[in-house]
Amino acid sequence: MQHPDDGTLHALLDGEIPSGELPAVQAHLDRCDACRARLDEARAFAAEADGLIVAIEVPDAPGVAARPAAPRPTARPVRSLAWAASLVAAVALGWAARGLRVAPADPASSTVQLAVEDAVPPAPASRPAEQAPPAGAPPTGPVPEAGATRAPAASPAPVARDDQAPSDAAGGRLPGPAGTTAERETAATPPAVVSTRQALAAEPEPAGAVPLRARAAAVEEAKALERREAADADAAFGPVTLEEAVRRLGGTIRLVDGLLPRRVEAMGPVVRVRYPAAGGDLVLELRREGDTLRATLTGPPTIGADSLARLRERIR
Amino acid sequence: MSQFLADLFVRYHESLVRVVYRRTGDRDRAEDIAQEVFARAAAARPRNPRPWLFAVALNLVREEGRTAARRGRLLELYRAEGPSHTAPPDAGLEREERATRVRAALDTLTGRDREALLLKAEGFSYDEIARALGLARGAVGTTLARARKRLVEAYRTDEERQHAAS
Repeated sequence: MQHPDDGTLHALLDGEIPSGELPAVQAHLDRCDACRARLDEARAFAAEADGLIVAIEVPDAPGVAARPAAPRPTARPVRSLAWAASLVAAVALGWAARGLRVAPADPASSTVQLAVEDAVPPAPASRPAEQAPPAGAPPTGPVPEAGATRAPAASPAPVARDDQAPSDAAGGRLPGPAGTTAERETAATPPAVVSTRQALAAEPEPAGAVPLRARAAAVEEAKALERREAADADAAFGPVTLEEAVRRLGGTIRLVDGLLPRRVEAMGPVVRVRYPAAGGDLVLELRREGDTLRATLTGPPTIGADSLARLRERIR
Repeated sequence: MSQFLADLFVRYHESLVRVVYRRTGDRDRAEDIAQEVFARAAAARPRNPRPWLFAVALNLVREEGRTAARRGRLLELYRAEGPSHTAPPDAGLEREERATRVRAALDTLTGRDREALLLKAEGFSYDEIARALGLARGAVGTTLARARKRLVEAYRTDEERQHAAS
């Protein structure tokens, strides 16, 4: 065989050579000193490059941009609150089920926006009501169209979702006209969540995790989740829709800006918003005390005090 | 929330934010783009979500780059509401500096080379990279070979310049 090109050498290093081609490449390397030297060089480049990329870590505080001069044209607080509201509301409206029939060309934003509007509680001058309207208008405006049309062909949107039907929340819950039932059912199925988490943790994710460690982590995670779910049950906090949560808090709510709630639950006048985090849930507990809304954010031990303090600054 | 979305979110959110952050250097923007991507995924329900999510995210980054000026004017109004900027702690400065230099080196690459590297760092297979970037599978190795070499060389050149200057 001819000398393998650089692409082949890198594919070899990445374990991506089709098995049919491997013997020939291997045989050539066995007898070609020059190519073995090239392979070593490729290995050094690959290792160094991968190490460099990993050096760019995501800062755990918002706004610590490595390029402070760069303009940041975003409307985060507005948009993310609307996003959180829309997601919770989406299920509440049985929208997940509807989504099965949504035409593929329908841009996401319009669907989501619809959910946001419906989710706005009727309470006068409540916070979400103030913030929701601008969310759909200018900030999200310019982006969706372009990206939606540029989405890769890989999107099989028009296909019926048979493959997901069994586990999909939409499956048997179509009839529910009001969202409450769907929301309750979705949130009250810990086993589904457990299996998802297990599957997640068992599948070695990108950052080069060692499979063994991933498996141990999966077991740990599953255990932690069981404990968490058990604790949830003990505490008699029941899942509620965002709308219901707002009602219980007297027409307003606070959320951690930029985070997506995993679950909203309530017991009497106390509302808890749970956010997924490594090692456990971040829990934002809200209760009304007279005219003020008291918010307490707690996290698992894996979240440092610093991070927690920064997250607290993002409660709005 | 929909199990489908929740599942996608738990699996890919962190990775998605990381890739976009590495690409843009702006964490808030990375979070915004990730949310936009999940909103679209909710509507499109891609069968093979991982390459889909990252392809859409990288498209949005490119698109944002093009329309940044226009949107910047429009959204300037909202910036006052953004979270306050805090200085990184001293211990993180050196790391931050290195990250900045790596990003500068990354910026010297072509878009496709850069994205291939970022996806590879997230554990993407060649098949997935090909799908996300619209490349032939056979071209991924060559793309990565070139990208890695250029990144390392750009970084080293910058390092030498720093040494010479100091």
